[in-house]
Amino acid sequence: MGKLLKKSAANDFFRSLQKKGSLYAPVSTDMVRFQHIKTPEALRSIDFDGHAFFPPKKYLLPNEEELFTIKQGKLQDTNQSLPPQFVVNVRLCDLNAIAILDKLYLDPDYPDPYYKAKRDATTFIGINCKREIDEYCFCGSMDLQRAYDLLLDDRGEHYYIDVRSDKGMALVKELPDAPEQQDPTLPKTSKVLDQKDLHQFFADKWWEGDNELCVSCQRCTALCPTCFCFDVKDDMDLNLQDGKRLRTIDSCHSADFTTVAGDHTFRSSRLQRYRHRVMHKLQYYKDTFERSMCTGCGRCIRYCHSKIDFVKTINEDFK
Amino acid sequence: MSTKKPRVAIHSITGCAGCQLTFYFIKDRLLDFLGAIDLVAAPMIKGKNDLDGKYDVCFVEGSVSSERDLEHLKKWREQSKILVALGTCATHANVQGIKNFREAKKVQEYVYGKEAKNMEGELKPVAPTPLDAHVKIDYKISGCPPEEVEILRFCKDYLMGLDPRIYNEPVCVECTKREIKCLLEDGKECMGPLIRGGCNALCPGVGHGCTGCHGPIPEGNIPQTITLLKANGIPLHLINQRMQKYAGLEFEKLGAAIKSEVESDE
Repeated sequence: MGKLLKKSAANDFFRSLQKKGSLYAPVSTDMVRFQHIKTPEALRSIDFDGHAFFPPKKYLLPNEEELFTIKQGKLQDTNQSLPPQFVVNVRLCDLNAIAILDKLYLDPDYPDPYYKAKRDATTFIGINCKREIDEYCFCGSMDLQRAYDLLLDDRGEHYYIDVRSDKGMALVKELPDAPEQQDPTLPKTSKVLDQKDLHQFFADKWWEGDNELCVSCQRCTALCPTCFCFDVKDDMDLNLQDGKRLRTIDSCHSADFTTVAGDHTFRSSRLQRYRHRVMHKLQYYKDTFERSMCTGCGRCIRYCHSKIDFVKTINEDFK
Repeated sequence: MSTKKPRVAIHSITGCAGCQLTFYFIKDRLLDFLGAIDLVAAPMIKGKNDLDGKYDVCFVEGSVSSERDLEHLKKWREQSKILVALGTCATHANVQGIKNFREAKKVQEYVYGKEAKNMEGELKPVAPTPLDAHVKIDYKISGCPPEEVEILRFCKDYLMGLDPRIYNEPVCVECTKREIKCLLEDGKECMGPLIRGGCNALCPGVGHGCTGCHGPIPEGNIPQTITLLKANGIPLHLINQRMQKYAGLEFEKLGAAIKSEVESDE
């Protein structure tokens, strides 16, 4: 099902979302960042072309979130309910990443209530890439799906809005129907990752070259749209009666991450940690869920201090 | 946890005393803190101090830079169940540690002039070293000065009976979470990948590269970070000066060859 939105009326559509809840969109300054678009005037600053530095996972898995509070030694649930929020102009790689996070956090047997509350309140509205954003994108090889409620597809004068859910339809029902349904073309990229069984390349030698360049800065995991590892910490007041429990994002690149009681560390070397990230992203998740956890957004290469390109290494050196 | 309040001391050897000040500047939490502990010795702010009794926790700021410093430190170690090195002087010898990479006489002449007399005095200066070069240190909270949040986190963990957790990630982690444009990526100078954070990327957040005041993380990749800085046009002697500035001895322990470079520059 498709709807048509005149490009000149895009801001009117976003304004209608602003009236329904909080609006978040990419804004380009020294970089592209998802930001809160608070006023009608700020709608003008919304970016349609760039690729955000930090992925929109931050609206579901914030750097730090409160799980519950402790008042005079008693636990109190934190109210997790949120007013509706709309995150717009999300790229297809990041939309697929949300679908991957959903799979983990909304598991029917073990749904995560903190994630679910945010997810229920949030609608992600996509925008299709007319071309690859830069040479680091390799989503064309990562089996992306049309996993979204709504996606804006550039058709010259108009955006064709591809509607994939009732949640999406409720937001665009006023807009005119497109004369015919035309599925948006999935993006193609000149960079592609060859699909290989990485288990057979587990030995150190395959990873040593890239590992020497790694400075363990953890930017790759922080900026990955599907990296979800977390730590749980208590933050008590000095009276030791009041406080809160926090969940904060963590990283498998951290030496402390696999340190357990008794000071044992499961992955004590940088090479083990570096390899684990790539193996988990491209192989271990696939072993369980039949697709890679990577969506080819390219951030972990684009923003790597040393521009470590595991795609190139896997394609060219793993044989 | 017993109901008896822990006996805490805050002591000082050679440094600027800014670390202690950070302690006393925890603003609205200071009264809560003082209520939770028994501050038995803090010569900077108290008139009456128990200088010879037992301490549950003793915070020491400053580096061992004289024989008198060392006498004090050894005494405090014997008096204390837990000894905490507070601030980068105590953890890494800090700015005065640069002396380790220069000829002592030249440094003295540079600071006090060639005509200065009686420089030995009763202090008897020695090459500045961090506390753990002399006694066992239980915890280190580096920073010049250390962060209020880190001091508070330590105290709260201790009061709850936990093993206090010291943040041990590079500056890049907090910098990325704050969505700050990377200075290294921008072709500038920043020591972030090598340096322990906990500061919430204070300096990069205002566009100034990290100069390393928390000292290095043990896991840093020094050769590759130097390669990145050089690629941004930062000369090696300047990179070495940055490593010397707060934590030269520790960088040497981690394998950085900084002493010879500086000497060849001079």
